[in-house]
Amino acid sequence: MIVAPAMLFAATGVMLALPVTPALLELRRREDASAIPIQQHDGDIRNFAASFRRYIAPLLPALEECRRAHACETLPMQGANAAFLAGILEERGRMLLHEHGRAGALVLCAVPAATQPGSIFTGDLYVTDTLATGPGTVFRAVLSDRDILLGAAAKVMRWAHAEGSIYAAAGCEFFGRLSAEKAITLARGCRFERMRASRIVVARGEECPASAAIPFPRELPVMLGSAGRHRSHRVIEIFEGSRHRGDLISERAIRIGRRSHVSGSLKSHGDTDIGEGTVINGSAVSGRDLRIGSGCLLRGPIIAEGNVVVGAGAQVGSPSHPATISARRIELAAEACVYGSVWAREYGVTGE
Amino acid sequence: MLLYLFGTVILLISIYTIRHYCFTLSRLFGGQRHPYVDVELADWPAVTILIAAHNEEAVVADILHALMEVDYPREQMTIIPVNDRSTDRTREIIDRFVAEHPEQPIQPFHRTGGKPGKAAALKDAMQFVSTDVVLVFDADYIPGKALIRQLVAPFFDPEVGSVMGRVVPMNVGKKLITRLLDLERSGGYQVDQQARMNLELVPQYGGTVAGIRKSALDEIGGWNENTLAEDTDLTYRLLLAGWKTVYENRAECYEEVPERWPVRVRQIMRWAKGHNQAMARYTLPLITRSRASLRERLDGALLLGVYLMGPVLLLGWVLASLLFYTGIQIEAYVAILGLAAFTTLGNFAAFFEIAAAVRLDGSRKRVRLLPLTFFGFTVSLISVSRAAWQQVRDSVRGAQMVWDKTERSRAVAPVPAPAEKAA
Repeated sequence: MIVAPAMLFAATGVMLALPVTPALLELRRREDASAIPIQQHDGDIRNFAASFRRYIAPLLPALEECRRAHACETLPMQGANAAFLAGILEERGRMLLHEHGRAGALVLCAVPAATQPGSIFTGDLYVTDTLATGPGTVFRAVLSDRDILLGAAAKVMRWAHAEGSIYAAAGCEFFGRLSAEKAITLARGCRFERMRASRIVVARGEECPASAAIPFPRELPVMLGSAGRHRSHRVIEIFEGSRHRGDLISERAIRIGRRSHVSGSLKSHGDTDIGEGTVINGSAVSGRDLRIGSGCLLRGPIIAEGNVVVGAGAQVGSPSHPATISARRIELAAEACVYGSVWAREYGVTGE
Repeated sequence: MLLYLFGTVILLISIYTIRHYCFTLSRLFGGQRHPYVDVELADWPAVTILIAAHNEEAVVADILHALMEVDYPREQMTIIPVNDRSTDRTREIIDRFVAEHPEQPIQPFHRTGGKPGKAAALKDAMQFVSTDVVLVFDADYIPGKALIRQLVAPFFDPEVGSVMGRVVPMNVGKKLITRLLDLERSGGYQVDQQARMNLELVPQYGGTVAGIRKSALDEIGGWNENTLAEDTDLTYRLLLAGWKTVYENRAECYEEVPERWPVRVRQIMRWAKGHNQAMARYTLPLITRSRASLRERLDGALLLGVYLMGPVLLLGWVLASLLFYTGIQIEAYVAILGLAAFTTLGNFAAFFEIAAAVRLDGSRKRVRLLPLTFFGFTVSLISVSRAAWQQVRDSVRGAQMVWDKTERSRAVAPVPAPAEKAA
């Protein structure tokens, strides 16, 4: 008589307890009870290069030894190989890198280096001097203490950083991060994702020699004061040659006529068109696409949820006021110049 | 009559249920908006950081230490600890820190009188602010290295009046309450706030880990000291004046959540009362004469009503029982089915939101605690209902609302004895 109700009671208890059993176990065991890790790094594009430099730091004495002995050595290292190169300079005072990178080995080179056309380096490469690559060379990641000169259609799969400058001939592709302490110069038809340098410039034509003409940096003309903000539900249009003091905000589109001057910032929920030769003292933010005409000068960050086109000879930021361009896709025309960083969420290209 | 009232309850609950689902689905499958997150290099503007501190001897030194580590240009940063009538050692700890770091741009403001409350203290502190960008932290928060830049970046958008970052509990593993609040915060920020950002609705300025444009604040008349929720109040006054509030999900900052249920109850009751004040003040202006878009008005109105849903749900339960026991027509069955649907699916919408947030955070096993969030939900339901009732009662009696400070659980920072100082 008592058994049946007891069993019913027990069964009911089990059914009620089942859904909360994992919860009670987790509460007791605390297997996932630490605080959610939050972003602690500073978002610097050069973090990969800095991390790689820390990784190779213990190998540098051995590399220096090779350099003194003019030797080439290959040593086992964590399941892969580390090749230390500092042999006889072969081609125009540079060492020709060929087979060493093919097996995924880490390559460290203590002399100026060059690559043969079509070489593929599946391991990371560190060069203490200048690196000049042949056409079609593919790298996983490259770090140079001086300059990197990339031949036509070269590819970097993860990141490249130069303590000096990076020069890329036509058709180069950069997947991931590209950074240089001095300048990045890209010829036409290059594809990139994220770049940062004191100066990023697009050369005119196929070649990108170190002596490529760099546009002379322009500083913004001074226009004191701000007259507040002008907000509109309609399209805002500034006619050619106008001067506007203050911010412009449109819930639709903004069109700035040629050779105008806006002392504040721009924000449109739709497209933004900035006519050629215009000067914008502040930032430009667009909910859709943003087109910057040739010869424009923009001081602040350029932020677009759609695409950005930077016209020929346009300048974003200045040596004393770095800026960022952030958009889904970015097109930089010839002689466009950015002082700071360019972040394309999908990809960016250099045009004519 | 009862039936119509019950139908209204069901309708309101259904609207909020759909809202929860829309937010979660947007977060899981929709396009994610982080327009300002990539601003890495810029001509960073001067910024003032206000640290609201009322009897914060346990925590105030930690935030000052953390701010010394941020990567924002030092010459562009001014830190103002707002010591609001503290009766503990807050003043002593701040002054000692300033003395030990004379090179740092810290200008303490020791407030000894005036109206109580955070908004009143911040209002008084604004006399020392000369920059257009102002960031606000409560003293129990610990900002990360890049946080200041992340919170300042949206102000390059001239339409942005305020910015809100993400709050992450750090004392998670201590007790059941901290673990439940961790889940609740995940749902609230990782899904709710980010979804409102994605859908261009009304992300809420939360009063800490947050920034405000001084010119926008001046335009709307400054801090409102006659409110218990200056954050909600500010969000709506900015919205009515045509300014946007944006949410930066990756601007994360650790906070200390309450470790005792009475502290949590007082906290949520204060939030509920302040939020309901804002609802009474701004619902009509928002709908009738704001510069906000239609979707912002709709979401803004729903956001204003969230703390009213507690009493509404309790009312629904009472009505359901009354209708059941007093003999009901066929429509009532439908209504009861509606309520039943809510108690299984409607509540589940909030739980679904939390589960999605935990997954987005990359956590795995803490989601097992989800069934226990029902306890937290029940405590909140009763607390916000009690707050609403007290508010109605106090408004009839003409009583003034009282600011309840959230009690801290962190160990108090040691202060050297006079002999040690002399040494």
